[in-house]
Amino acid sequence: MGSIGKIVIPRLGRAIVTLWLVVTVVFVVLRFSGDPVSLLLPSDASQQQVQALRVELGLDESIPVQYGRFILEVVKGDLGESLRFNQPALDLVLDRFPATALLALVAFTVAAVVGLGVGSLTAFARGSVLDRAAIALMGILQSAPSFFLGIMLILLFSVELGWFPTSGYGSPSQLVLPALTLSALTLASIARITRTSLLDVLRADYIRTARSKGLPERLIWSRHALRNAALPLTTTLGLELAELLAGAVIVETVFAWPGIGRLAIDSVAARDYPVVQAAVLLIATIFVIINLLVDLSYLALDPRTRNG
Amino acid sequence: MAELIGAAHRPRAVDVHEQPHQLSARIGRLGVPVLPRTVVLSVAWVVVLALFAALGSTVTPYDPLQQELQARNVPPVWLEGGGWDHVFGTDQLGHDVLSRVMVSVRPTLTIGVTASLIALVTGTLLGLVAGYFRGPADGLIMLLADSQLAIPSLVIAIAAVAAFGQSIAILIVLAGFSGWMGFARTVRSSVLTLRSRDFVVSSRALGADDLRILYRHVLPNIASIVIVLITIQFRSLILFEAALSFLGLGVPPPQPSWGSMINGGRDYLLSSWWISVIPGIALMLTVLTVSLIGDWLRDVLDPTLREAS
Amino acid sequence: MLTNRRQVIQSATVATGLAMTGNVADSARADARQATPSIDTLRIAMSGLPTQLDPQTDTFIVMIRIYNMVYDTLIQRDWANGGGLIPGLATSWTQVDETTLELTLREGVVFQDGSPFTANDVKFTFDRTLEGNARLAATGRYGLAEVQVVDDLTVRMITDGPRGTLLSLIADLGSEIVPATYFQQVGYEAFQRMPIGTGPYRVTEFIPDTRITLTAHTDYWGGAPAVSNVEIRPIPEVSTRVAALINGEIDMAMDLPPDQIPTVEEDGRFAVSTVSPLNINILAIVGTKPPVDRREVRQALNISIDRQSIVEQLFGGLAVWPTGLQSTLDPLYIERPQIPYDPDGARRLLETAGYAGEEIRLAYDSPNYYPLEQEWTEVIVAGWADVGLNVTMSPLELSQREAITAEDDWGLYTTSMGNIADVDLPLVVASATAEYQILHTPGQFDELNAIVAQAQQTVDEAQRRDLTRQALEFLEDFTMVLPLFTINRNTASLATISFQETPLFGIDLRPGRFTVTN
Repeated sequence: MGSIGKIVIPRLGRAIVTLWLVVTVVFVVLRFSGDPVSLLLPSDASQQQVQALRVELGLDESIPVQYGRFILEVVKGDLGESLRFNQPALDLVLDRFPATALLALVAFTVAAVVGLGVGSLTAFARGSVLDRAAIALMGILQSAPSFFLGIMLILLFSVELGWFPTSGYGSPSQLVLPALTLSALTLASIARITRTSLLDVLRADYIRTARSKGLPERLIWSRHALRNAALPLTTTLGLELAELLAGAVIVETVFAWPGIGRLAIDSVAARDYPVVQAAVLLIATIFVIINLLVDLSYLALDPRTRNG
Repeated sequence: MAELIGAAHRPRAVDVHEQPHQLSARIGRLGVPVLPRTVVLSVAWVVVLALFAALGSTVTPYDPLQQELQARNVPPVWLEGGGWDHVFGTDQLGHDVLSRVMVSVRPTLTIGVTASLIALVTGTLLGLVAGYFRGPADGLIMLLADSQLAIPSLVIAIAAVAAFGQSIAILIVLAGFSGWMGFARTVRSSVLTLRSRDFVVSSRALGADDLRILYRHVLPNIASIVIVLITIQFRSLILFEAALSFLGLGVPPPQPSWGSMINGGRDYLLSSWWISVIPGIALMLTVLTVSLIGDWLRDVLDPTLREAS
Repeated sequence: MLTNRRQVIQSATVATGLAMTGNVADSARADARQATPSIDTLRIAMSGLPTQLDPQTDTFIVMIRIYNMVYDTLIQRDWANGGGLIPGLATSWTQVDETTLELTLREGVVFQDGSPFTANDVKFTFDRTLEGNARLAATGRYGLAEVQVVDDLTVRMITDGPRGTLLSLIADLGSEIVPATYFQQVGYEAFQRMPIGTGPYRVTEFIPDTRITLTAHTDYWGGAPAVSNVEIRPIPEVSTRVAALINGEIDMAMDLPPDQIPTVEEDGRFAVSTVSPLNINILAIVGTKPPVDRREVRQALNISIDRQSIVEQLFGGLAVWPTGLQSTLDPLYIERPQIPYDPDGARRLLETAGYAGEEIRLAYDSPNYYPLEQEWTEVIVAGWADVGLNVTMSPLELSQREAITAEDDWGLYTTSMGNIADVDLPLVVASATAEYQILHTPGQFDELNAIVAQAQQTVDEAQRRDLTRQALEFLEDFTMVLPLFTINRNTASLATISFQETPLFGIDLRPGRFTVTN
């Protein structure tokens, strides 16, 4: 327990500081980008009405005062009410979470499995036709904007072939196209990073030493190559998963998928501060947790970093 | 043990002055041209792009901003209804698509290249410092990186554009500073691994100073992953611009960019698909060539590979 | 017809390198698609879902559509016959004296929970607008002093002075009747989510950004509705919305930009309905900002917009080139010529004004708020450049545009307004609203304000029409805003459905106005 505590506690402290930084930055940037009053009121509102609403929402106070109040509320666990929905902001965000998590996890699994597979395959078959074909395909996948790829998949698989529904949330078949679209970019990145990391490792001195000692390829691969390539790979995987969970605004929009990303963007556009803050806080928390797990897996993968 | 000491003394640095010599040596030994055909083609494409970027609208067949409402959505020449006067057809305002694709090179590449450089320099430096020196600097840098990674970048982008107005400059800043964390984290983790690697440990034991170790040993060893990261980053920053266009925050019109062109045609993909697809192909080719050149550079710069040949 | 569509799509997908499969599966599926099932649940997709459903709080288009299914107004408009006033929840009304309007309510009307509709509900609804709640769009709209319940089926509306515009307002948005008892029972926030009205459909499920389900109100006073359930889905992306329609996932796709119509029509299974709404796109002028503080410059801007070619070429005829800020459906409509296109006249005006190419900055919405907004803005700006007007266009986020003040750098910005004189002239153009006070020098519009105020107080229709004419002429001569055009709302639905969006953006599924043939 003692040693695990020594490892985990400072990281938890860091996680909390990270969250504090995130909510603070978002708070400040939002306040500088304009307030929600003009959108909340009808266009024929008088200046008195505008002023009254600002007072009601506490927007007439100075930014430090608003910030202080906001932090107090957050610590108490109250993230406020949505200005657009008149509902608790946190409820709105949590309602969207299952949709976001489902899409992100499926897309990530597809991307990780295929990406790692293609990456290691091409690393071994380096320079072959297979390698080049895979690189070209990855290149194409990587360079299509997701809205473009998404609409193309809809035209092909929904309109032309009729295999999957175009959009919506609820049935497994509705998950296929958005998950594919979302995984495309990540898949390509993971494949490339895998290939590069493996190539780097395979060329390293200790591998060559091992080879010169006559160790079988299989052992070299499992004992050295994978283990050493795993470090940068874990970082990449963690980042990609976090990015997917942060919401895929565009994929969500194209496929009418009710996720956190779109909620956050719509809320920024409407300056619905409480919802933006709740969404960002949730996304950041997930990120911090993933990060923590990545850190811990570092320790498991490479004991040398433990004493660093 | 002898093996390890040998490794420490082996010259691993990529000295700029060494390069031509090393390259020619490689040609000689392998007996094949050092530039594969794909790389030649890629370089040719980049040269063409550079020309378009330099010449701007002086070489386009039409004024890229000239509208022709009578000739909206005209198909490209190879489709029925198309003609040689608009080789790649026209868009929903009757703009010549070819002219717009050409004139879009400048803003698109300005954003992609400048932002990538910002991300590269900031990220690599901070990652090196964090991974090599560890301690409080590492803690602070990684805290900043984590915090920024934890904020959805589009949320900040919308708010920042609202606060500062929509311009290419703000796009570059947003894109550049949304990309440094990837470099920093990857570089840092590579450095962490290298740092405990024997040749670094031994050159330190031999009294080499930090800067020298960083420059001679660490930098060359992370070069290949950094180059791959650049190509990925370049891609994602160009796509970041397209994504911002989707949200209405891209390069402000009437100036076109590839991202805004692809986005502007997305309502027409069922009917006049060329409005989106032609700039999409240009973007794809560019990303692809950058990857290919990146891969090749990686191999050329890779010291181990060079020695092996 | 089907083949045509396929060719279009095929060429699109082939060109991007995606392989097509054989035609066997295709034709089998096409057959299945052509067998139209009888509709039990009508599935409608639109660009977004409302965030709340209290009709007096907000009047965004996506909300209005649902309001029209859930609620009724006391007085309705007969859109099929020129837009005249017809009975709704009130069967008759009389002007007792200059400040008193008495309405007789319909007997036997029940809310969707079965409770009866009475004069108390009318009083409750209009009393809400007197509370001074700034969040309610309907607050202070009517000039009411008091609402009196005479008996269960009779109410009197007492105005704070003579109010000639009251009837028009009662028939307009924000005047939908909400149930007093239910509202007080559940409270404001619950009502916004699960409202009840007297209308043909009741909200049975409301999942924000996912769907709204409505069930027929079988005791509806106008007769049982044609379809028992309606499901409303948000599909923000136009291409996806059209694809969902073609793929048979929805029965009706709203908010179609004009360029999508040929694609939908080529399929052969769908009919497109189009309606010109009571709304006009305008460019508002920040009248204190040089050089648009000069009247000649504003007039030159106005007459060098080629509205006709935008309407015909860009909108394919699915837009209206207006005569001014008034709809032809306005009961007070005044016959006037369409706004002229006269580039030479504009050049002369600019010369008179001594305009020397000073920059005029124009803000338009990004992301686009109106169909083809960026496109038409580019066309207008290019036309202005031809007569020597140096206008630069810049994208601006909606919330920023709503907050534009005279201190900002904008000379022009895009927006839209209603175009029924009784309702909209007092509201938007001449009132002391925050927006317009900021945009113009105080005193500049005293004359117009006086005319509009007088019209508001004039009960006699002929006199009010004359005052409206004066107001419109003043506006045109002074060129306080640049009226652009009215953009049609287009909806594609299965050809077996007969449907028309109302000019006030409502989904009208009342018996007789909506039919399904199987």
